[in-house]
Amino acid sequence: MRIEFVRSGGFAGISLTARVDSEKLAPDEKAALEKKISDASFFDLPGQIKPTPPGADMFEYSLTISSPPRTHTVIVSETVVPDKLRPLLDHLTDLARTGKYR
Amino acid sequence: MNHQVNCLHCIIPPHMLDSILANGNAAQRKLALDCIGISGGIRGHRQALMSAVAYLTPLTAPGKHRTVYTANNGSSLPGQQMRDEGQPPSSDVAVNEAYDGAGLTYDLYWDVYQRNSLDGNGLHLDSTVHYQQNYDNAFWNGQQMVYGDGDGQLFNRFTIAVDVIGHELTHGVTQYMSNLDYQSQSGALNESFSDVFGTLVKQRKLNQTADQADWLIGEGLLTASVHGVALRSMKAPGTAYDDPVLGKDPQPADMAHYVNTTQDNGGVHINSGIPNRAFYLTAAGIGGYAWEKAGKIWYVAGRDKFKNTTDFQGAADLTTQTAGELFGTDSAEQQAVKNAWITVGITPGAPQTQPQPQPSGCVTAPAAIIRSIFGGS
Repeated sequence: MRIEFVRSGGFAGISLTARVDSEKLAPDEKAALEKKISDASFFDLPGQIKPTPPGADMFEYSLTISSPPRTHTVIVSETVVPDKLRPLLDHLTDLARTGKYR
Repeated sequence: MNHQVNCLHCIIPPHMLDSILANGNAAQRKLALDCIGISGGIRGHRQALMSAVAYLTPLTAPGKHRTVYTANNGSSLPGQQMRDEGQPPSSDVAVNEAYDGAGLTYDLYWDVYQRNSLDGNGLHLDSTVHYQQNYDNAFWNGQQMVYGDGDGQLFNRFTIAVDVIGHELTHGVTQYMSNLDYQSQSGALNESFSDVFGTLVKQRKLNQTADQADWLIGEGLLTASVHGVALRSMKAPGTAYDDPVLGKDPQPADMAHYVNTTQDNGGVHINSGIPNRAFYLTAAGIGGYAWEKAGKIWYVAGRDKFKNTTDFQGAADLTTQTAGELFGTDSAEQQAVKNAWITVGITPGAPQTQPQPQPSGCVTAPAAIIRSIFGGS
């Protein structure tokens, strides 16, 4: 699976990014990540999840996962992240913070 | 209708009537109110009428009501109440900063623009501090302010900078006024409005004129280990930080460097550098305290003229038009607004305000009448 993760926005407007090819991860890391993708039912989530009223300065997550033949993108504001998606976003935020996956 | 009042309405511009309402004695204010009563019907002085209404209605009990909560490092909002309006300071510095910053922001809007809280109707100001753990952000969720403690490595707590607090509260003001769409140019204008009035809260607190102010957003928010002075510079967008971890401040200073991106709702925190600099240039061009004239122009344009879809060109047109209405066509103030937008690469195309026909007999003694109103004894 190829994963493109961007956390943009926030008051500072500073983006965090991670591009991950799960095939290149260690087996236990690959399994942990793919389990979180599966637990999130990622490919069944709507493409946009935004709060009403929209508010301002919240982090915005953009996540694209390609697992041929499927490719799906979800854009979601931080205050309306579905519970089952949260562990995946937290995991990818940690990977992005390492700076190894830009 | 006596002759003097008739004369007043054709001479005294709306912003001066505002000033009389705010600063004059009882007799002077009555004259100004009489004047607005007449001129409002004849000339549609919407701004003066709004001020009169604001003056007459909630002056006796303006609705400053702040409540600060803590999320105790969780995500539940609003969380546990820590300090309500009028209560003594807490032992928690973030609680007090959120309380005091909300008060300074309320005071700017009330004292200078006669706006009673975010909605103009005394909306309570709710803030939550200690949101999540190591949380590097502050936001407005449509109903309240939320502040993180920062991670301590890159960011300090977000209540440390009063302009951040003014910024978040101004998102509430915008929501109740133009409700600028939080996407692309209208979103960048929404962000810029928050930076403008956030920095005005700070400048007013420090009693700084435009040339004394640093025009930085989020000064003190970055830790000493970061190479940078703040998160944004309104005076010199793109120069606030340049750090191995955070990267370089991406803000453009003019339209030639506008950033097209799908991230960050279309770059709302990036392209805000352009209108931010237009405001700085306006304030620097006019001189004095930025909240008095430049701030007034932006506030009135945002309140009365902006729509949810207003873009940068619209903002340039409408602030130029507003400056003409408040201070006169081709006034120094209007020229400052025009020049500012031209410098950032946008030429205002504001319709020219037609000169108002003046009743006969009114043009001979404006200076004496103004002196009498302002009571130069």
